[in-house]
Amino acid sequence: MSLETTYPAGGVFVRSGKLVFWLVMLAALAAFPILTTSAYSLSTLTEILIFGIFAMSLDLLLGYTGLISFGHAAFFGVGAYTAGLVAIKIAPNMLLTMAAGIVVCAIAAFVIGFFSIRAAGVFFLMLTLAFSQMVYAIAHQWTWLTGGSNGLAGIPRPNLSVPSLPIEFYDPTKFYYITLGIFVISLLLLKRIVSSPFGHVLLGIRENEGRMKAVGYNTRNFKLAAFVIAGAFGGLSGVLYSYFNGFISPSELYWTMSGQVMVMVIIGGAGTLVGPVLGAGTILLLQNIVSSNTERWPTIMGMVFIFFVLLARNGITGLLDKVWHGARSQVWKH
Amino acid sequence: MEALKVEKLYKNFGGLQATNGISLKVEEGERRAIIGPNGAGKTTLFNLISGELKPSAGHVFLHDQEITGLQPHQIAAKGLARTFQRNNLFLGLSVFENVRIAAQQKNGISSKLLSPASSFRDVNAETEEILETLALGDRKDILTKNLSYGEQRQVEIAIALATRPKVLLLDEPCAGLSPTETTMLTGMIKRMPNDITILIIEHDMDVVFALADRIAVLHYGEVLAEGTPQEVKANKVVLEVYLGEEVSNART
Repeated sequence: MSLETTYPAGGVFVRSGKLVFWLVMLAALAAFPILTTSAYSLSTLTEILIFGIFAMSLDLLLGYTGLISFGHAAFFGVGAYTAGLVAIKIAPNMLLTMAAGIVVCAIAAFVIGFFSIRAAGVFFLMLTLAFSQMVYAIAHQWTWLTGGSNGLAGIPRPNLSVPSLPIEFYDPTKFYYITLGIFVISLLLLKRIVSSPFGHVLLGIRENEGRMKAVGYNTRNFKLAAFVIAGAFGGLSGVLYSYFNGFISPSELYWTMSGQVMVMVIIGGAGTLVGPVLGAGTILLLQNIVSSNTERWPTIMGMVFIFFVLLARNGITGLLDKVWHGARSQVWKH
Repeated sequence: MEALKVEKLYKNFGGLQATNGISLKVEEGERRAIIGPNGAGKTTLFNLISGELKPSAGHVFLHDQEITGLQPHQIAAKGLARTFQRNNLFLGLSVFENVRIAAQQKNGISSKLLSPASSFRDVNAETEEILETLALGDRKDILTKNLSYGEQRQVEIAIALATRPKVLLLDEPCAGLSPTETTMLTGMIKRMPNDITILIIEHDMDVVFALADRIAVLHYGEVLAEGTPQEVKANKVVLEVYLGEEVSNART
């Protein structure tokens, strides 16, 4: 994978141009429920935002730290199960279920990361895969708690009940806005993290871990921190998914889910945060469109993936960059 | 006081004795060249000092503090920096980022999660300063992989310098450079502050004689001779095993 971090030259105009672009995007997302009356497209977009958070969280490892984790579904699943169980057994309070999901995932990520980062490359990948399959087995077999292969059904919709101000989200539009808000906060937080000194250490580890040690970094600690942060955000997306779906099955943390989110990151453009969100959108939209017409979805997804890996290593964002720079150099010529 | 002391350092790789009881004392501020034919154990010695390799026996002291067997990052944090014989850079990052990553380690801001790296003015200023001393000021926004080989050699040193080392190990800094580039880089090394103790492995004798206060000649993992450049030049054994041809070339 060739991952490039470029620092576009250019002053205020480029930057304010970017800001305008993002504000327009945000406005479009905010206006979406008003512009559409289709419950189906609203629910698809909600799902894309949830998987967007999931894909961004993996991108922190894959794109920024160079850690090829193949067990990220574990955190999606643990977050979803934790939130679901708390909602059923304790109270369907949104803040409570969300906090529980994030904290449990951070702890799980600490444990899994602690052992996995001792290995590198393909061994790291195998360890994360093994751990996530263990989590899958637990969800599958601990029947009295998780419902086993039947899944965890009857998760009540959470509420935001601050005393005297109960907000329920039976309403898909309200839930969409809450998801959008959490998505934007996650994106901004992760953007901050990757441009911080800590984030630059992660880039250094991705580029050349040996040299990072030689200039004085205990790289293991930084990799573990990145793993915990990624696990926590992965868990957050799982929490949202449990609200969204109202039902969780062990397949949410099966290894194919880890594979799918990895495909989202790579197709979208690893190391860009926004790219993996576009990747999530592309995969989910294609999946919806293709599988309503034919049963050949896995074949088509495979072909899309092969196209990107062979011809567009930098993913959708890489392609967009090319188009954008192409357009700009056309303008400059005149 | 010695900045660096190596005591009877042994390293064997299977049957091969890479270093065979090397002892060295390098004074603070000294420029010490390590020379010797290929396979003499020069790079192995550097790897043993910087922690990349663990010695089979012996001790290494940095400013009287034992660092034998510590991890590379622990040794680096104690003020020892090194460059590598082959460029060992962050190729996908800009030149500025390469140096800033090293500079921010020393400044202790690397665990800051939520402030942009660009907002730490001290670190940025320090980075700029180091880039200037290595004549990389106008290259700072370029991706390191797009630099010429010679410029990458300069970044290699800039990264090491950015850790503000007390002791700096340079492993063939001029290898592969053109004569002009070599002269320029030698000048830059010569201008480094006096409080940095420098050990330099180099095959180019002009560079060695231009920089070194003292020279240690390694041969089959042992210190064959040690002394000022004049003493080493006059040493018959050294002339025989290693210098002969080049010294007579230099005289003509």
